[in-house]
Amino acid sequence: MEAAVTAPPSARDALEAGGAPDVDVIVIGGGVNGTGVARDAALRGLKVALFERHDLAFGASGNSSGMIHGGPRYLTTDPDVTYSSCLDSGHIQRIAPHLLFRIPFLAPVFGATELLAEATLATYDAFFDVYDRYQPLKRGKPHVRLTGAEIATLEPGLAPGARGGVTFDEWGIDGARLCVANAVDAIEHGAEVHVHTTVTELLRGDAGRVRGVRFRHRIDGTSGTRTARLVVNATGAWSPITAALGGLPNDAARVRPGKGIHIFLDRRLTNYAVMTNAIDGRQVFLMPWQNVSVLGTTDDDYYGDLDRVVATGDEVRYLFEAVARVFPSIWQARAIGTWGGVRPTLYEWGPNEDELSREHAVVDHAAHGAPGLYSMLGGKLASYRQFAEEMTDVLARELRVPVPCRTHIAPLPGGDEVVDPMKLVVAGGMEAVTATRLEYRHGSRSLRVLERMQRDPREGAVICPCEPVTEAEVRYTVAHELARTVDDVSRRTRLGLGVCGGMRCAARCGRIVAEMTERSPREGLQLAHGFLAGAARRRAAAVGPDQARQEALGLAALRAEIGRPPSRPEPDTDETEHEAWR
Amino acid sequence: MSRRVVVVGAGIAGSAAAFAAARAGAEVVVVHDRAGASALCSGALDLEAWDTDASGEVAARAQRALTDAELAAFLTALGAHRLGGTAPNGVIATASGVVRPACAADRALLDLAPLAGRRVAVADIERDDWDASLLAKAFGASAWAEHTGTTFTPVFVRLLRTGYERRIAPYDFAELHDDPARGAALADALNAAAPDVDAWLVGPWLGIQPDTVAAIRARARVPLGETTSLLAGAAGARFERARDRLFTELGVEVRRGRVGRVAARDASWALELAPDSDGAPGELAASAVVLATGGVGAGGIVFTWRLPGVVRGFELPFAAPVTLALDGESLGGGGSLYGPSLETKGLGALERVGIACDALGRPVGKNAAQMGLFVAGDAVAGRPRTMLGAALAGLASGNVAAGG
Ligand SMILES: Cc1cc2nc3c(=O)[nH]c(=O)nc-3n(C[C@H](O)[C@H](O)[C@H](O)COP(=O)(O)OP(=O)(O)OC[C@H]3O[C@@H](n4cnc5c(N)ncnc54)[C@H](O)[C@@H]3O)c2cc1C
Ligand SMILES: Cc1cc2nc3c(=O)[nH]c(=O)nc-3n(C[C@H](O)[C@H](O)[C@H](O)COP(=O)(O)OP(=O)(O)OC[C@H]3O[C@@H](n4cnc5c(N)ncnc54)[C@H](O)[C@@H]3O)c2cc1C
Repeated sequence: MEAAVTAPPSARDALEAGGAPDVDVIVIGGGVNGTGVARDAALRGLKVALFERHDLAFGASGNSSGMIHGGPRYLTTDPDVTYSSCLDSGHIQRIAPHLLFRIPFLAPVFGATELLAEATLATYDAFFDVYDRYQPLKRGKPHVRLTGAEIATLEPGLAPGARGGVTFDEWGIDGARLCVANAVDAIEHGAEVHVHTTVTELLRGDAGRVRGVRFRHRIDGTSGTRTARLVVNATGAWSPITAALGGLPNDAARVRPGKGIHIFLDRRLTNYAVMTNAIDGRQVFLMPWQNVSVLGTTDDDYYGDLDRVVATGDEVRYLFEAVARVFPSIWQARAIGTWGGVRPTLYEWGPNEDELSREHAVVDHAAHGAPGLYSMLGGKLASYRQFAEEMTDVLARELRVPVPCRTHIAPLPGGDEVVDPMKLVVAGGMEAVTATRLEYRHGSRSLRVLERMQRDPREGAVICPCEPVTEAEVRYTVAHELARTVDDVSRRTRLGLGVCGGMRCAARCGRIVAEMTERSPREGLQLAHGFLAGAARRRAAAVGPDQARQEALGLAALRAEIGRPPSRPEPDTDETEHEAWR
Repeated sequence: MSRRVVVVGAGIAGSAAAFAAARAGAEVVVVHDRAGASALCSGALDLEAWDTDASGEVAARAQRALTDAELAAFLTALGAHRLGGTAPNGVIATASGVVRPACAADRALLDLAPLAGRRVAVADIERDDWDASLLAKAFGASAWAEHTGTTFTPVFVRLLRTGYERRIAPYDFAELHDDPARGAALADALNAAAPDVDAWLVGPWLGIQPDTVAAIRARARVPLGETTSLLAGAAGARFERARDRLFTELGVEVRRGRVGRVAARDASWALELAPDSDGAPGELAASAVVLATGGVGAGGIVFTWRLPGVVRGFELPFAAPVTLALDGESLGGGGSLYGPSLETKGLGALERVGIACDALGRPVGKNAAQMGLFVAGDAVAGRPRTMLGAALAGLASGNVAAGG
């Protein structure tokens, strides 16, 4: 968490001599850290350009557990971290109240004997007594110690024999929505955000100074360069690769990549997020979320393709087996999807994955002969705002812009005002669940989506009945949130992630996206193909007995409707792999 | 005494088998359970899976198959489909915005082939699941439309009576038009909306009774027809009704229920039915049995946990002296601890798995005791999952089963 050494001021002057750069700051990476820095810098009046290779939140930020936790794990070793985590959780609630949801956790204690269980419970109780002191910072509720009988009533699906347990309170967030909100706010404060645009080279100038980037637009194939006074590498697990694009040494921006997966189950199984231990002792959880449940997570060293992270059968089984011990009816639930991401954990040799720090560091690459380049390594979703602030402080100091950070008080788009979903029901003729989900995702900006429907009532059509998502919202994400593919729309709205796997909505969504971005209907169909193939690939490892029938019917239906995917892979989409269909 | 053939499954394969066996003079009993693929399908009848890169060969082979007299006789008797149409190769529009070949299809689907070069109106109604303007754009941009100079234009049609009709299931919306008054109103609305187009393309809304579409067409001024149905829509429902009518005409005995066991007994076969709603288990004797129980989608094969949560694998949901195969390998003898992995085999394995059979649809790997046991349609391993493929296999096995 130690901030950087600043570059010598002379470096900046040297750059200035070579002509004015296009922008003050280039940010590489559209995860939570990249969009967080872009927003903070734009709010401080800096001119920012952000480049994202795929889509906002494509990486860890859109594939995390989404917990804005208060850092209880640091309570015994480093209570200051717990304090600042809780404080920042409170800030995030203030700036994006619509995006946060309460997650009541339940940690049941089984214990071989009453005595052992009692000892464990007493430890928990004492531990959470201390944590409770920090809870008010984030409007958290104090923990409650429960008896075995109480637990059996509260969570009837739990295996019999719990001797007691504790509940405690955390907050969750939709990481993709958080990235989009930060990016949109940055744009509204003058930033450029280029999605589906990969940085292919870091441009070096006099004395090795990093003075900009070369980029390639992955949809239309165009490329170009952009110069800046300072460049921030916020590419998470890709950080070492990005640093190498400027010829930096291998260990300049090293992380220890830790893959984690989650599984969506088709129904709400529990009332609480239930914690339990996996076969290796790691903690995993089964969490209710909207109308589904989420099972997570794993943590394994990962050296595979970062652009194509997929859950494996082994990982799925590991989670199922772990939860089945305390929640046997999990075998009856239907896995309807998985997602996987790679944590950009700070590099350290030796420790077991789980003991690795989740903390962060700003690296000034002046130390590697590349002044003007910084890497943001490590970090968590929960601490993104703080991390972005630390990074932007360095940028502002370097650029001599004495404007203080405002990201802890200035609301994110949609977070300025609370909207009652009933208003959307009455004014837009939406069903209650449609309205509630819309309001969750967009906060006060749901009123802008509503306006679209009022202007053209046909846009009120629910095109993804599973989630549900309206046509107006799809169009809104393309018009105002940089969605360029069906995958992008899905990341922002959860379109196509329900039981039908996108069978009913992908083709139509592709047509809408293609029309709005001036592409042909055929390209729209390719966008649908790309989404469907990717989603099928993500589901394959998790399909169980009940889902299998649905999958077989879905394959037949899609073949009848849109044919087999074209045998030629499309070079301009992210999802070019079609083997999942075969 | 005539031979008694029991057909298990009433999809298109089972229906064809029953048709052939009855015509060959056998006494036929059909046992079936819930809706299979034929009852949920799109309305198109293919021989091989069509491809977005489809070559003319696929269509030519399908066209040849349709000259098979028995297939033509079966489909004519079923009375729900159009064969070929007026042009040699049928062309249809799918509900997902694609124009594609289909040599035969449910009668209600609009055959675009004779409309080449004409103006087709796409009915624009306020259903949530229907986006006429974008669909018209997609159809119009298809290679076929561009090649033939056919245009597709959305035309608003005032059809919905209540806001409620905007969101009801497609099946229920189609069923509304079985009411003769509603069917007539639909034709009138189209006539009024655009008197000068060459044809109307509508969604899968033209009733679930096979005869509804003819009544609507009689009243409409220009040709009209549907796109395909997505899963579980009107086309599948019409198949089921046509099939039931065919069974009645053939004098086939129909038993609703699940077969739990098929076993050889002396020189014949015994089938046990799972207890019905009255709790009475049934027994059937047969000289020959046709298994037309469908694939994973129909529930004719299940993907299951073998021990609570330990082994995942494919299984036949009833006992029978046959083995399952996937990609040419038998699944009977174990394999990996966790069964075949969909991760490595791909989800497509769910469509490739089936009962191991020889080219004649006889289950392989068992001895002569199995004479008289046949398998047809999606139940067969590795066969293309198509309506015409299943129908041809059903006809062949029905014939042999009746012949002894
Ligand atoms: C399974 C899992 C569970 C987690 N759970 C939690 C949790 O509950 N709470 C919590 O606080 N944290 C959690 N985390 C951690 C948290 O998600 C990450 O630390 C955080 O999202 C990292 O954000 P980032 O912006 O640094 O990286 P990322 O989100 O990975 O963003 C990096 C971006 O850079 C882009 N990129 C890469 N190369 C280029 C290039 N050449 N040009 C342009 N763009 C490029 C990528 O496409 C990507 O979008 C979890 C992580 C995982 C994987
Ligand atoms: C959504 C969808 C769209 C499709 N589109 C097309 C298309 O465009 N073109 C095309 O050519 N093909 C298409 N197909 C494929 C085609 O529908 C199938 O290949 C065909 O219907 C298979 O017919 P079948 O008779 O073998 O099996 P099914 O129709 O599946 O029939 C199986 C029968 O077996 C019965 N059964 C199963 N187990 C038991 C038991 N234990 N006891 C009693 N009865 C039992 C079931 O009740 C059912 O009646 C589509 C399929 C689907 C699902």
